[in-house]
Amino acid sequence: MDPLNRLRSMGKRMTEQVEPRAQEVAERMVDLVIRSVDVNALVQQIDPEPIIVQVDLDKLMDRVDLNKLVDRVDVDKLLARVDVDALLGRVDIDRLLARVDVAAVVDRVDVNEVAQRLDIDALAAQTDLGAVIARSSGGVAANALDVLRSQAVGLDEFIARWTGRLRRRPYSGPPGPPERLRPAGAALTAGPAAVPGPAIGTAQP
Amino acid sequence: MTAPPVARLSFQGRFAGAASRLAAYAIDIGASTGVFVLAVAGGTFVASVIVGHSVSWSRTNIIVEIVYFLWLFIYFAYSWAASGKTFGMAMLGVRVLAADGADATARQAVVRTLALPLSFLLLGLGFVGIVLQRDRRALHDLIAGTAVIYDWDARAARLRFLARDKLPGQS
Repeated sequence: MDPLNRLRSMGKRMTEQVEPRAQEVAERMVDLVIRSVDVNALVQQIDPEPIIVQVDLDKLMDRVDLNKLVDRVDVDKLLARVDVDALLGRVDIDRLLARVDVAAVVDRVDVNEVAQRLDIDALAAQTDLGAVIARSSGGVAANALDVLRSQAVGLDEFIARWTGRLRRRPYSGPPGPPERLRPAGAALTAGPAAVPGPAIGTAQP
Repeated sequence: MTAPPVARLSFQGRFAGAASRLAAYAIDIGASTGVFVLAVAGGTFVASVIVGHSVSWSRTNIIVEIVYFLWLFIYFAYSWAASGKTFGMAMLGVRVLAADGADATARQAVVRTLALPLSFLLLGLGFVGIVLQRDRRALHDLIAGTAVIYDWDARAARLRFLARDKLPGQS
């Protein structure tokens, strides 16, 4: 038998017995060292400045996926925590309005469209504007003329409707206006819906 | 009172109908004849004072008849040429224009006045066009190249009507 082999097997047996012991001792030592170290004191001794100086923030930010970050934010929850009243209370409305270009805003408003949306009838009937109109343009003669004209127009429409019926041609109001009084591009057409009666409240020439 | 939707429409500028035109004509004849009668009565009185005895002018007198028709001619022709409307037309809110919508010329006013009796002389058939024609033109309109439109602002009239309720003491 090779004397070296005998020596190797003996060494192997010794190693097998000593190795767990050595590991145990090492672990015990590490544990003792960690316990004896004051981490807070250690951290306080570290100067972060040189570390921060070495950090490339741009490069760091480039690596951050902001969209992914925002997706993870619960906006509803965030807004629920915002005190809107307190926020509005901090807004200086006068200062805000001072910065608004009112002329530019007015320029963008279609005044004609606004005027068309006004219910002039309701204005005349329900506001003092009506009294102003009546005072400025009223009078027995004017009222009598209004009635006379309205009744005449009502009679015109009555005749026209019956003539239309006899001729079997539907009547939808007085024709016109003449060429020069027409809006550009408009053709000579029958007028609006027939006037229902001669009273001033309904007949419209 | 709530305004019906149709009341928001205006016929201003559209061709006037028979009733409005007939009423205007009746008022014109009444007014012009009334003025003439008053003028004749005044002239008779002045002539009686000047000559010192009673002077009698009546409509049966041929000269008075001629002056009457001359007066009617001036009354209608001048009114149409000057403003497109006579007294009666102004009351009814109708107006004479050239057929294309321009103001009637003096020539058109004169021709229309001269052609007007023709519409009567044809047993009134000259007026049928007002009812049957698309642009409501009578024979004298066709001859003179004129048309009659509604000229009054019904919208303003309606506002006045609505506004009357707002006046104190009225309901």
